[in-house]
Amino acid sequence: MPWLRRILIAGIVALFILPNIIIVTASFTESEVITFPPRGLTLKWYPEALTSDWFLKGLVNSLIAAGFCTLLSIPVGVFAAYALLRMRIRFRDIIQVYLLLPFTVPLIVQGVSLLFVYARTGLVGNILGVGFALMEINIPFMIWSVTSAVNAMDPNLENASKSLGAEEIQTFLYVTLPSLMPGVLSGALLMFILGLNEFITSLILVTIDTQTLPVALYTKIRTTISPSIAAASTVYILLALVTIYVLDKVVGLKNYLR
Amino acid sequence: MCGLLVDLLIAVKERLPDRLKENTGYLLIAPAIASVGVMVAGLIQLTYISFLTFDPIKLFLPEPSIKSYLTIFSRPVYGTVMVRTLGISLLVSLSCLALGIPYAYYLVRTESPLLQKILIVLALAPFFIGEIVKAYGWLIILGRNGLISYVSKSLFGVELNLIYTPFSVYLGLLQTMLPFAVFVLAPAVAAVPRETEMAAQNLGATPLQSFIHVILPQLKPGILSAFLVTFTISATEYAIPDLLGGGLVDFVANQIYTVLFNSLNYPLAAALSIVLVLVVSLVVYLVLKIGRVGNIFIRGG
Repeated sequence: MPWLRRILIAGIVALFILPNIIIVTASFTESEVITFPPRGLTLKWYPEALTSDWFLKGLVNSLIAAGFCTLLSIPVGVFAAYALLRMRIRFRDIIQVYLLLPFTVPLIVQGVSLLFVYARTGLVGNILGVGFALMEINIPFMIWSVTSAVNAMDPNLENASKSLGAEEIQTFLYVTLPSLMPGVLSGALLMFILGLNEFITSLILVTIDTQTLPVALYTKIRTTISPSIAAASTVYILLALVTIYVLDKVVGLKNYLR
Repeated sequence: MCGLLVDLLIAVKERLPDRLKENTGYLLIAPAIASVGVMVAGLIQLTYISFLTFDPIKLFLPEPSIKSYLTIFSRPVYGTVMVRTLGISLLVSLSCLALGIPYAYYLVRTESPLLQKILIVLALAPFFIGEIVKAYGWLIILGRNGLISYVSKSLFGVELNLIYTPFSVYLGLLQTMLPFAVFVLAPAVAAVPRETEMAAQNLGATPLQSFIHVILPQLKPGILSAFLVTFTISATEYAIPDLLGGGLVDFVANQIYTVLFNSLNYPLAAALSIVLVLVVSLVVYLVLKIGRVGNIFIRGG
């Protein structure tokens, strides 16, 4: 029944992309409220949304938080992945399960937990505190990304470097790290994009001044349904496509099927 | 400059005592352990607060009490929300399997590299588009003056309002969770040797028969993980029930948020968090247990 299969696949594809297509279409609507069928064709919502106060403030906060998260995640993730795979460590299994806690503890609960810690240390509303939270909740992605790069690496490279007289640190910096680069890059990209999109933990930890872009969008959606929100959302959709393109270039999309 | 830095690092390392040198692994892994540790410290504090007494003025008093837990188990509203959370999540996860298995199969096995790439991109895109944007898309489709209401009005003359119903929450969750299912299932499909399928078909099985009796049983671990991943994320969702449920289809996460920020009842919010973690863990445990004991989908094969 090939036609049945085709209908099924087409239905799933529609489920994936219909909301996005609708958002992009809505961003060109001329009227103040989004209606069907869309009326008029205009680009006016883009300059309006992209220069508005809420968008720019949210964008700057999100870039700082996601940037800080990515910068932290690189050393934390690379060292952890390398140590887990190449160093002598006792309780390796327990440590691995422990490092997966950010994926197993619900995000809402992690957000509230971090809120309690931040309330004691005066970090509530601090944008770098949000950045740290983004790093903590997504760090398994970075470790996983680097781990698969370490696994794919030929250990003979390191052995050759060592037997040619290179010091351990030299071997790590000049031989190991460069061959881990694709894993580090794709991990960093994941951390950054997921950080730009993260919502619930940020919602719990921000104040009005440190609202990240998703939180600002959320606040806006709850008050109005103006096409300017659709224009701002289209930016996110484009960003997602760029991310996928870069991931394809760096690691190859086929890797995700393995 | 860089070389100098490396020399310096090496010089520092040489001076380190032997015992420290042997334990470099622990040193390297310490930042990751500490980062997660911050959250774990908060989790411990949260557990502690859940056993304190609520006070409307001082937020909580340091007197031990299990009143928050008793409230959760005695007031029907908490049970209702928990049952709704688990019910919709179960439906979402099962739908993710029903749609994700054929999608993953087709994605891995298609002969056309172009089609394969398109299918990967389509499934991957929702990962990088935040929940808020996704929910907003559904708001435009299902909301008042939305696409569905327009289509139903022009076709049948009735305005169909689907927004703020369990169905809109289900749809939003399904779109969000399906990519997780696809990317958990795809490697499992890729690991199934094509020969087993060919053998089945040579022996006279129809493609559907060979799919059900030969491929599905080999996918069992993948199916179990896909179910668990989608279920645990759905059951702890906040943004989609909030935006697409409009306060009428709250999940436990929404309840925690409201109790925390509107009622400022920290002990109750903490207790609800603990109950959520325990209930989700229990489901994971049960599914793994059932999964190991017998084949939960098909016998034989």
